[in-house]
Amino acid sequence: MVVAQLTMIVVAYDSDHKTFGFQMFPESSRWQAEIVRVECDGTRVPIGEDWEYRWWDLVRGRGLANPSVEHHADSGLRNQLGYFQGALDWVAENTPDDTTTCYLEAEVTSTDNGRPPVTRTFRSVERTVATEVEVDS
Amino acid sequence: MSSIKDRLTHWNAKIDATGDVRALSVLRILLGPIVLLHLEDTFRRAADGIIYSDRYYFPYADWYPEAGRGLYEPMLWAAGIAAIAMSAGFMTRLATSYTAFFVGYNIFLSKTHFAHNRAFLLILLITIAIIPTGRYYSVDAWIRRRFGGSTAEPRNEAPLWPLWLVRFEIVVVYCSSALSKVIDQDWWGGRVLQLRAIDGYQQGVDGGAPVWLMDMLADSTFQWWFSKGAVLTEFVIALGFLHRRTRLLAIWIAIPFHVSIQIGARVQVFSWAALAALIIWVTPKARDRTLVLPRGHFLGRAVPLLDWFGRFEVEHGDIDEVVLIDRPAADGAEVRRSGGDAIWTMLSRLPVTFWFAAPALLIMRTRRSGQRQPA
Repeated sequence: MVVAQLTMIVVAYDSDHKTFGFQMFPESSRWQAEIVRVECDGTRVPIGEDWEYRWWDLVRGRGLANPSVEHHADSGLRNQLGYFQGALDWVAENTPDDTTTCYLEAEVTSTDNGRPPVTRTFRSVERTVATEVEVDS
Repeated sequence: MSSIKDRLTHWNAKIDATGDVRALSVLRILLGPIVLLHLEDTFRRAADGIIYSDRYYFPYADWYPEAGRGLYEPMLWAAGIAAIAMSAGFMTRLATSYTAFFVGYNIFLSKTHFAHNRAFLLILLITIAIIPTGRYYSVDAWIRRRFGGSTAEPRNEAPLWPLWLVRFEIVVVYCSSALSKVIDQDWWGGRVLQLRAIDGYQQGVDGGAPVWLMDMLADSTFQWWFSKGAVLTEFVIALGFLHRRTRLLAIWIAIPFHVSIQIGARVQVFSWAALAALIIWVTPKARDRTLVLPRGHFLGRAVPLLDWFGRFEVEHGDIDEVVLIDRPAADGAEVRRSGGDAIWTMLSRLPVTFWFAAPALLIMRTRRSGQRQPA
C-alpha cells in the first residue's frame, strides 16, 4: 500500500485528474467555452438554440453546467478540460432524440494562471445519426 | 549496519504491536456527519429521482460494475443509514464497513466524483472499518453493558498496523500537497494565491471584508511571502506529526490552518475531515497518566466527561492539591506534577481544552525555567 500510494503520487504529475496524487488547489486558471452542434450538412448551431436538449440538464457539477460563462478551473486546467472533453463525448452519445447533429465542437478559451488567453478547439466523438426512412405501403 | 538492523527490528515489532484505539471511536462519531455532508447533493438529486447515470459521468473503466437505478438508490439510502449507525455505534462493524464500501464505490463510479478531499475521507473510512471502534461511545457498548451485565471498562486492544498506515497516508497528503506547490513556480512565487484573491476581491468586499485586507491579499509582494508560509506550514505539520516531541505543536498549528482554509476556500469536506483526522495522532495507550485529586474536587467529575481519549486514570486521596503522575521520563524516572502545573498539563491533554491550554502551559514552564536560572 505504501508503494502503491507513492506510485500514485508520482504518476499524478502526468495525469489529468491526479487521482490519489493529493495536489490540492494547484492553479488559479480560468476557462470558458462556446459550444456548437455541427450538423451533418456542416451547419453550426449554438447549443442554446433550436435543440431538443439543454446542456445544463445533461451536464452538472465540476463547473461544467454553464461553460459559456468564464469559470475558475476546478483542480487545474488539465483536470477541468479533461472533464470537459468527457462531457462533450458523453452528450454526443446520450442525446438520441437529436437526429441532425454529427458532432459537438467547442472553442475553449483558457488563461493559465493569468497568462494571455489561449484558444483551442475541442470536438466530441462522431455521432451515428439515425435517419428516418419513410416506407410507402 | 547494526543501527539499520535495530531499526528494521523495531519496525518489524511495530507491525505486530497492539494498542488502545479508543480515540478512533471519536473519529468514527465525527465521520458520520462528514459522510452525510459529502453525500448531501447526491441525496438531494436522488430525492428528485436523478442518479449519477442520468447526467454526464465519466467511468474509469468499462469493467467497473455500475449499479442501475433499482440498485443504486437503495444502496445510496442505505449508506445514509449506515453513516448514522456508524456515528451512533450501532452494529458498528457492519455500519463502518458498508459506509466505507459505498463511499469508495461511488467515488470510483465516475472520474467526476473524484476529489482529493473525498479520497482523504475514504482513507479515514477504510481505517475505521478495519480497526474495531465500536467498543466505546457506541450503542453496541451500551447494549453490551445493559444486557451483557458487564460493568468493567472494555478492553480496546487492537493491532496497530492500520493506524501506522493511516498515519503514513495523512503525512503523505500534506507532503504531496506541499511538494507540488514548491516545484510549481506559479505557486511558490505567489501568483496562484494572488490571482485567487483578485478573483474573489469584490465578493470579499461585498461580504464585509475590509478593503485594506482585500488589497493586502491581492498584493503580489504579500502573496510572495504568504505562499511560502502556506507551503512551509504544510511541511511543518507533516514532519511535526512524525515525531512525538513535535506532534502536539503540529496538531496545534493544523487546527487554525484548516479553519482558515475552510473560511477562505471551498474545499467540500476537506477541512472537517482533516480536523477529525488529527485524532489518529493520539498515542494508542489508555490511562497512562494518573490524576490524583483531593476528595470531592470538581475535576473528579469533569475530567472523565472530557477525557474522550481515555488518557487519565482519576483517583482520589487525602491530599490538598491536585497531583498528576505523568508518563515516565526517558530514563524511566517517575514524573510527578502538582498544583497549577498538574492542572494545566491535564488541560493540555484534553481535546476540548488542548488548543488554549497547551500554549499556556508552554509559557508557564518557560517562565518557571527562566526563574530557576541562577543569577
